[in-house]
Order: sequence, then C-alpha cells, then structure tokens
Amino acid sequence: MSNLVWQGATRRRWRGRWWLATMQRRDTTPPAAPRTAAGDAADEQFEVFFRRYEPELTGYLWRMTGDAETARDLCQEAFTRAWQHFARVANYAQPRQWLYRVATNLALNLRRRPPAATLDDHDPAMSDPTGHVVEREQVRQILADLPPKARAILILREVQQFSYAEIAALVGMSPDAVKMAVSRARAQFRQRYLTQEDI
Amino acid sequence: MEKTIAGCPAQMDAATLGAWRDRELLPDQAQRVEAHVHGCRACQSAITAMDLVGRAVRRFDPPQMQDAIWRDVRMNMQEQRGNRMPARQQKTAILGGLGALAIVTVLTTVILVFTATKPEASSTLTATSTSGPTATTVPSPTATPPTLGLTVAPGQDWTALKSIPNGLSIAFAASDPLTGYTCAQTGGNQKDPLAVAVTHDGGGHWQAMTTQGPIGVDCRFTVNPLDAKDVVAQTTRCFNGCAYLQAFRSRDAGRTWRELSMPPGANADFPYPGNPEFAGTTLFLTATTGSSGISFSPELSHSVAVIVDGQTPRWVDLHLFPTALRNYWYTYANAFYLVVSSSPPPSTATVYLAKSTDDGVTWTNIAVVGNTSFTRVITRSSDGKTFYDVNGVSHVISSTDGGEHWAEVPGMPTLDPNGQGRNIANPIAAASDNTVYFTDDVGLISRARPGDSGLQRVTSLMLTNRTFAAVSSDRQGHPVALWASYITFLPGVTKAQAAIQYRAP
Repeated sequence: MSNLVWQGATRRRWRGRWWLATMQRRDTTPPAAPRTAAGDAADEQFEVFFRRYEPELTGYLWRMTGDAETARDLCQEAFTRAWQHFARVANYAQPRQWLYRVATNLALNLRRRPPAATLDDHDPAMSDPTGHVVEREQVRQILADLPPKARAILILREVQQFSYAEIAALVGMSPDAVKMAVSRARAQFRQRYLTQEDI
Repeated sequence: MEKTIAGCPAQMDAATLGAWRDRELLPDQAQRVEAHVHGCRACQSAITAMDLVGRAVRRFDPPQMQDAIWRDVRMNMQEQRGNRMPARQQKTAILGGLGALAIVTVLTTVILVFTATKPEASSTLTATSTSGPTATTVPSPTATPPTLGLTVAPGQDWTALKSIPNGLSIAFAASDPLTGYTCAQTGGNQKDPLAVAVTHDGGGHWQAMTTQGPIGVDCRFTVNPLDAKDVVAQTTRCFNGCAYLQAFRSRDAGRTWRELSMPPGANADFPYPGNPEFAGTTLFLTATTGSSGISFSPELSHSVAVIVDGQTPRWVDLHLFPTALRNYWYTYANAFYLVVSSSPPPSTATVYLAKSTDDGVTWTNIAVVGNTSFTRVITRSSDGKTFYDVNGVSHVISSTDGGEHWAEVPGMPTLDPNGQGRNIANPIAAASDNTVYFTDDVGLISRARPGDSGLQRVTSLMLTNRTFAAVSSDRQGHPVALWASYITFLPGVTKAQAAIQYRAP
C-alpha cells in the first residue's frame, strides 16, 4: 500500500520552522554524574515542580506562539533549563516568575519567524458549524498580529494574572511602562476583535 | 490609539482606568476612579470592553500535553547526564538550517549516541555471503545500528524509545506475528548502511543486525506472508528529490542480504518509493514517478517493478488507468490489486478495484466500490489477508477475499476523528480483534474497535500521514502492541527523523 498525500501535509506542518534554530540553547551542559539517592529525590522534586507549572506555562506559550507544537518545544526547553538550574531555582521565593522569564525570552526570540501554520492547513469554515474553530483562529491571528512584547504583556496580565510589577520584571520594563503597554495592547486587540466581529 | 476614554466628560486616561480595573492603583487613587466610574457610562463601557478582551484571550483552552512534554524533558535530562545533545535539540539544530556543518555535526552526534549504546541483544549474527546471479557486495556498516529494546507493559502510554534518525519502517510477519523488522538510516548518504533490527518475540527485544545489509536512504520493508524469514527492503539512494530505486532481500531473517536486480531505468525519476509487496513468488516494487508530492494530481503516474524469481525483472506502467487520481495497491493470494479513485477525497468518488493475476500484464476490474472515499487499504498484520478501509470517511469496512466483497465491520463505531466531523481518518494498522488504528488529518492516533462508542484517542503525539505502523501479536494472534514511527521533514534540509513509539493496545 502506498500513500501519496503525506508530503504536502508534512511540509505544511514544518513550513517556516527554520527559526527553531534560534532556540538552540547555549547553556553549558552539566557534566555527567552518577545517580544517587539525593539525585533521585531532586528529580522527584523537579517533577512535582514540572507538573505544577507546566499547564499554565504551556497555555502561555501556546497563546504566545499560536502553535501547539512550538509551544511544546519551548515549554520543554524552559523546563530543561529549569532542571539544569534547579538547585538554585527551587530555592527562589518565586520560581514561577523565573520560569515565565525564561519562557518569555524564548517566545520573544521567535519574533522573526513566519506566522504559525497550525490552522492554516485547514479551512475551518469547512467543518465548523459552531464557529468555535473560526473564533479561535481569529483570536490567534489577532494575538499574532500584536507586537510580540505587547502580546506577552497582554497574556501575562489577562490570562496569567501577573501584576504590573511582576510583568515589568519579566519583560524588562518599568511598571508605569507596563501600565501603558497593557492599555495599548487591550485597545489594539479590541479594535481588531470588534472589527472582525462586525464582519 | 486612544489615550483617553471617548465620551468621558472627565477625559479619563485609558491606562489609568485599566489599572483601576486591574487593581493596580494606590488606594486613594483607586477610590477617586471608582467614584467616577460609577457615574460615567463611557468609562463603564470601556471597562466592559476590557472585560471582553480578557474573555476572548482566556476563552480557549490550550492543548493538554503534559505527559508528552514530560517525556521530552526527561529525555533531555537523561541525555544531558550522558553529555549528549538533547533529543529535541537535535531536531532543532537540524531545523535551523545551520548549514552542512551543523547537519553533519548533529548526525555524527546521533551516530555516536548509537555507537555508544551497547546492544541489548548480544548475539550478533555473522554475515555469510550468498551466491547467485543477483548477489552484490554492500559496504560494511560504519556504525553500530541501534538496538530497540522495550518492555511490553500493557496500559502504559506511548513510550518514546531511542530516536532513530532519518526514517523507519516497521513490518511484522503474517505467518509468524512474533517476527518483525525495522530499518532506519544511519548516515543519510546513499552508500550508508541501513540499520536493520529484528525481533522474534513480538517486539520484546530487538536484535541489531550488524552484518552487511541494505544500503540507501529511505527504506520500506515487506515480509513474505508465507515465510517470516523472507524480507525485502526497498530503498532509494537519496531521500527526496533524486532518484534511484533499489531493493535488497534476505531469506534468513536479516542475517544475509543480496541486492536484487532491477529493471532498466531504476535510476530514473523515482523519488518516492512505495511499499514493496509479495504476491506468491512475485515481488512488486512500487514507485511513484512524475510530479510527486502534489497530492491527487492527475499528472501523477505510477510504475511497478515486477520481479519474479528466475525471470528478467520488468516494469508495469500503471498509466493504463488514465483517469486515476490516486492509486493504492496491495497483494493477496498471488494477485496484485490496485485501488483506483476517480476524484480526490474527501469528496465522494467512484472507487474501483483492479486485479491482476499475471504479474501485471492484464487487469480486470473486480469491484466498483461506489461513491466512497477510500483512504488507505491496510492489511491485518497478524494474518495478512484481512483488509480494512474506511467507507465514506465514517464506516470501517473489511474484506477477506482480496477486496472483491466489502462489508462494514459489525459493531464498529462511526468515525468522527476530531469530534467535529472533520476530515479523514486514515487507517494505519489493524489487529486480529478488529481494532483498527487511524491517524486523522492532524496526525493524532486513535483507535476504533467493535463495541466502542466512537474513536478513542490513544496518543497526543502528532504523527504525520506518512506513518509506518504495525500491530504485533502473540502466538495466538492477540494484539500485543501498536508500533508506529513518525517522520518530520525539516525545511531546507529535507531530512527526516523518526522515533519509534509504543503503546499496548
């Protein structure tokens, strides 16, 4: 049996993912060490950390990138870095913020990539009588059209519920600048969203 | 962009109003804004609009990928403990198009990883050359092929085993369901050996064949349905966009191999090998020519190399079906079958089956399946003679007589791949209990079996349409595990990477 249809679909899925090279981590790989009981305990602690924060971090990256596979790549990268520095990160007062800072930097480095193609492969109107997929695609597209930092700030505020001061620390801005940026991002999103609603 | 709220008599600053909504103002300032908002319809509307934005951004739930990401992270942890490049970073490194140097570096890393892995099966078999008119010498492997080891653990979720670069084919023998074969690239060059592994216990242990074997880039396996030791690997010398069809055959379960003679023109434009198929003593090597890669193009043409033991190999040109927009082929009981569709799915199409019992010289239409959209005919790997397909994208049908008669599988649920009635479920493998596995149009694997209420998702892993899959069975024919490999294409490099995945059905 043969299937001749794979090629186009596969190419579509990977189209434009050259930018992933920019995600190549430059951290020094820690030296190999034999496993110990303490090491196993640390791994267990890390898994608890992972399972606690992964869902919200994946959600953040999914909204940031508009693409599940990209979000998965960035999320595993963020947690891999967390594991590399876990002895230090675990003792932070706010390890969640550290994680988001890494994830935000990873996501912002994608700014030059072409638009994600996840939903472009299908015409959602073809099989979406409830309009659910269409609206999701609209939201994804509006978010994608925002400047990356504005997108991050809007999501960090509206979804992740970070305070202005926390967002400021994550993106390297002053709280007052974040206040203005949140307002601008909301206005930009609302303008596009309401326009599409009218259509 | 507005800085003050339109229509607000106090010209309220939009950012300040937003900060009040976000509870970011100092108490005294917050009290002033709150008092104003209570009496200002414009500011109330602005707050409502901000709420609308928040709801829109929050509304859709992200995909649930925790276990998959945990496997990625855990794999990275394990590999970094060994000072190895993390698995998914191998992909990203290649993906980046860092140039030939980076590619070579990554592939070398992979090879070193494999080389450093001590095969679990220690019984390396010794090559013994065979004589014969078509025997040729193939170069010795430059790297130890990977050993695929796993423990069958029913109920366990997909477990990513060792990632194998650049392609992987899986085939189990119909006559002995415990015997199976895999092949994968080792270097991606035309003369690099393909890594062949064999299992004789249904995949419990894989034995790496370190002897001289097939070479090439892409690889497809088929096992003689009458002889589990008779296996053919059809390969090409480059993965995509170049041409050279070649095939290797082993009659001793992968211990020794010989290259098969090919008909003239095998080095013509055959960039996409199909699956080789046995029909009695005849071996059909399928290949696609023409404008390959354009799905359902009427310009697609297909040719089949027919190799009959003791006879001069020859081509059968399937242009004899000029209206065919796509073809699938399979073999059964010494006959070669061709599935021909007259229009592309998912629209309904007139599908008919053609049969040849004289090695492709003459053909007979044996069945007009009617207005349906055959997706892909698959064979139950445990017997090699039960075929499955999907009728009209929603009903699983099967045939036990080579395709002359088809019927819906009793009790099988109606397919609804994504819960939204969306697009095609491609059958990829079937087990003896009529469980059929599918990939949908986004590459997720689901299964359907009699008595189920619908398709059940078995993995969140995104596979491609180009999925090699097989169900291994125990000696009684009961399914043990579903094996699948996925290949991802890397833009600018056009290499493929595959990992074998496992789930107990």
